[in-house]
Amino acid sequence: MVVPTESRSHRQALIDAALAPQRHPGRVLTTVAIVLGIIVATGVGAYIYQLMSGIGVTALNDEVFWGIYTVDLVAFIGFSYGGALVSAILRLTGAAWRGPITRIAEGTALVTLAVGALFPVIHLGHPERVWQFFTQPQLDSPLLWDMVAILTYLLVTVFLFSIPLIPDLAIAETSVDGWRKRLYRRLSMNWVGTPEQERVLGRATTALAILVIPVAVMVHTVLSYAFSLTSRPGWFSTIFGPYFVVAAIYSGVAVVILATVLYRRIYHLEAWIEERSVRYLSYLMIALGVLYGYFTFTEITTEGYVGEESATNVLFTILLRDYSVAFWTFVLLGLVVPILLVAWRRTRTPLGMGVASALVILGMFLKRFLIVVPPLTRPLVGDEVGIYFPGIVEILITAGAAAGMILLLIGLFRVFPVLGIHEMAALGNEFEDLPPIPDRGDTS
Amino acid sequence: MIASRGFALSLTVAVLGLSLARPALAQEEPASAEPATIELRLIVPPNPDVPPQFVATVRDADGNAMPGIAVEFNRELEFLGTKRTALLGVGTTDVGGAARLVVLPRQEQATVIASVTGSDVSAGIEATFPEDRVDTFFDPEHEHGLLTPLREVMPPVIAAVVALLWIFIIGLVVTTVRRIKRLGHREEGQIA
Repeated sequence: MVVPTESRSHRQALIDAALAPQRHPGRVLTTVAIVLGIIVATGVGAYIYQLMSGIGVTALNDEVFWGIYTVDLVAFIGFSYGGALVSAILRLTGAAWRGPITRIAEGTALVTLAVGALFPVIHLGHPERVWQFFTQPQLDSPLLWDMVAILTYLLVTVFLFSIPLIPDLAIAETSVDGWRKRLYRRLSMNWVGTPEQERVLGRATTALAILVIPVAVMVHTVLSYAFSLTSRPGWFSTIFGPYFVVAAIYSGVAVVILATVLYRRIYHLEAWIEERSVRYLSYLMIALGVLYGYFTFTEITTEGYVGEESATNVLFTILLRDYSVAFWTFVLLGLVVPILLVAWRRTRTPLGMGVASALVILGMFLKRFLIVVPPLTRPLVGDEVGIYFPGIVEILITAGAAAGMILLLIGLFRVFPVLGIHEMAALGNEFEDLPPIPDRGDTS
Repeated sequence: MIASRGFALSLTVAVLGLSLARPALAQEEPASAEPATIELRLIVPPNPDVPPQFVATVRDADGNAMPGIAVEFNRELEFLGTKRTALLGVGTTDVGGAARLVVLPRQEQATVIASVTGSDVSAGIEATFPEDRVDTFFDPEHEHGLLTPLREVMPPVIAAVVALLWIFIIGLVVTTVRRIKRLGHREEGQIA
């Protein structure tokens, strides 16, 4: 367990804590990583099979032409949004408790987006033609703008993760060896912590934090256009833009909480990641949960009140018929139980908040399924009702992607510090000797 | 957009062509000789209420009209930069060797190819329909509405904004990294 002791400097203890995931993993973690690797490999194999056999191996059909891949796209990019937003807002508002959280938030934003952005390609029957999207763009297609928004968001997220990392790499350089030392030295950009460097870094981080908020909002509203710009009952809704944005932040904050709780527990970072940081995030999560519940209520009541036949049909399918079990499971496990777990003092522990976050993640995945699939099962023409349940190939690819996200996050913090050392030092006045000036005598 | 309209055209003409052309089909026995040539024409009747039609005339090597021959009418399309053919419909030649396909054109220009089913005999034309016969999807009341110019203007405007945003983001990061690196060097020199 890494805690500040009198025998070591406080600064070195913080560096050790930030580099804790880089230590040799125990047997349990190695086993977990191997299992995740097998799931990822199975997912890749399933995708290769789909690539060779065609999109017909999925359960997608003439009626339900968007299925779990679209759900994955919306859900995974939504997960990313929470991380980026948490980091950006806490930076801009100068929240002192953000220190131990921002790096994990930015890391989750990056890996979930990197995996989520693959799904438009995975969904293509002919992915080898994806380049034509750029060489022959259809400027009036929402799908093109969706890709542009996702790529822009990916760009900002990569930079929001890497720019604040510069001083940490310089600080941690003396505490690592081998290829990490060479990598840290190369990426730390001669950081010595001069006031000018601090000013330049601070300005760039603030600019990126300001940028990432509207860009992330745009990504999710443009993503919602793929649904709401159609005339399909259940999708054609003016609330879809904010509905998607709130869903993204709600589930994204849950991912950040879960990742923080797990890292805190597994690597014994309790001394550095305070419980109050997790608790404040949980308060944010339940506020967003209440808001999302309200939006869901609004969507249902407005459609139900107008009573347009086709929309009512979809509504009944979700609330009372084919998909009612899924919907009420979402309400219970995705909204009510997490809110109660955080609201009740006895369960407002890191474990309770972790469980609440996991339920939100699962519940919101289910909700995205309910947004995408049921409206498609009700045809615009004719009476033939569509049926869809993801096929084995789709399930394997989705499981592979989820496992891949976790593995990528593990890999990311096997390479880079999991805590923002420089930021924590700046926020906590006790580390007055930070940042250090590494010996750069041999750099040319 | 163009491709989807093309497919809409395909569906429309396929249905119309088969239903309208049926009375004209002769109940002839298929000819024993092999089809040698096919000639494709576009006929636009002067009466605007009568839709245009493609007429493909099949003849044998001696120039005799061949009845009872199945003819496929395809339209050439470009979809995402790739040439495709979309089946418009199938007709059977009458006693005069002519198979017909009635169309409701959605665009002024179309490249149509008629081919004898199961053989290499084919012919194509670049058909140009009179403007007043082209049935666009646009409602004339809304075609010149307030938002129509935006449809043309906004995509390039948004593209320009996105390009500027990308330039700004990449510029910001490159400048930041270079300045941090340069300031570090200077400090290093000063310390030394």
